[in-house]
Amino acid sequence: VTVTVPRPTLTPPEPSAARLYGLLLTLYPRSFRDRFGDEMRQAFADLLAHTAGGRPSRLWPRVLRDLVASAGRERASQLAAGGGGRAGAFVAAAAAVALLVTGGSAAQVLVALILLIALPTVGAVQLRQAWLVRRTTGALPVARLGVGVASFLPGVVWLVAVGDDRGFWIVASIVLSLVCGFGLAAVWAVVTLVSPRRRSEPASRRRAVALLAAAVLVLGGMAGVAYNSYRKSRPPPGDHSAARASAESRALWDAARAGDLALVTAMIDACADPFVHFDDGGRARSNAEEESAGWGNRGHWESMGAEGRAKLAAYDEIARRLRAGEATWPDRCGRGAAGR
Amino acid sequence: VRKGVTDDLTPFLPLPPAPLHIVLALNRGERHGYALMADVEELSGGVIRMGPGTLYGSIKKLLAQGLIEESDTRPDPTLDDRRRRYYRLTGLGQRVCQAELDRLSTLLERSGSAASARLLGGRP
Repeated sequence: VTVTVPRPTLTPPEPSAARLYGLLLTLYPRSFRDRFGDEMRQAFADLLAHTAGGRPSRLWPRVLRDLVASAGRERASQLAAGGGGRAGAFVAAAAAVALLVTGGSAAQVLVALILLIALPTVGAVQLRQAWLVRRTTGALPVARLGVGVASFLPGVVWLVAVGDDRGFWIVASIVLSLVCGFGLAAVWAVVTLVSPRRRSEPASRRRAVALLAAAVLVLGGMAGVAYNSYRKSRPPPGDHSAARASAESRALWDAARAGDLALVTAMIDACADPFVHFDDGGRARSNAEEESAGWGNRGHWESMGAEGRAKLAAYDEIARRLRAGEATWPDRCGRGAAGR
Repeated sequence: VRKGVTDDLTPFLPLPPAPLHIVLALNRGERHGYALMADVEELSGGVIRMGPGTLYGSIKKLLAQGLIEESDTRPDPTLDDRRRRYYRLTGLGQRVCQAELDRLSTLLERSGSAASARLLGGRP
């Protein structure tokens, strides 16, 4: 006997795509969101339901284009209506562009990080070499990502503490300042101070928070720049961290460029070179040996002109000395000590 | 709603593309958000595919201008999500819609006769 149990009638859960769209609606001004947010979510859910196959991937490109354009328009019109005038609308538009550019850059760095760290393949090792090259040439993706994430904090604090849409503009202006220079933060503070806003919060409170956010930004930026300069100029002795490896690699580069192979060798002996790899047995191998194994980056150095070739020559010489037993790796150059 | 200008429709004309298509869709009857998007796509032959942001940005302006209004009636409240709201043209909106259609017709006629004259070798 087959017994058919009727399914209970339940309200279907909201699709995750609709929930995500609901989150993205925070890009719109609060007044707009309060008035039309529910309807927009419903319209999105209807669109999703009527999209062929119900696949959000087909819908997102259209919806995201619309969202960026219309949210920018609404923000600009809100700012213009709120006293910022055309200048305010221009700042809003510029901030939105900067936000997009920086967001794209942050996403790219994040993807690169995941690829570099998570993939245990030879390809990932090659990527990691590229990562080290970028690090030693001054680009610090991790730091960029950290600064990018941290730059959103004042906006979040504003949003939580004041309950004001201005958080979005704090975020946007800070991102803009990251792109164009920290001085723009002060401009933002002035704009905030002089623009009459039709807000319910007391003006004194808004100004205080605006000043605080701008001060934190400027001082934080100055402190970051100062610390970075200090760290680069004075690597801590005895430390084999990435910072030291990066600084010493630049010194190694300079020595190689000057043709001072003795100095280069001395530095290698002091385990200063981050471009050192370890095989499965824990044996250190130079770049030249890596190249012979088929996954070095000789081509990269060759493509960098005279300086790259000079460094490559230095590495070849070091590899020759290692093979001839004229140079050895100190025991303290263990696995992980070379900027990994 | 603009006061004192309801007899003179010129301040409302010409309607930008998105509001024009929304007004034309509402000219068929009351619609909610998704139905409006679908109608606009159909009316434009698929050329205009509006997203929710553009749609409600235009609706906000049309509401402020008094060309459309929210409708209290719901075709079937038991089947409808409570978040759905229906919109309809106001009397002013209907007049503006008609005026815009007349304007476009005149434009078409003039450009059509100019093109015909060119094709026949004359000068418009």
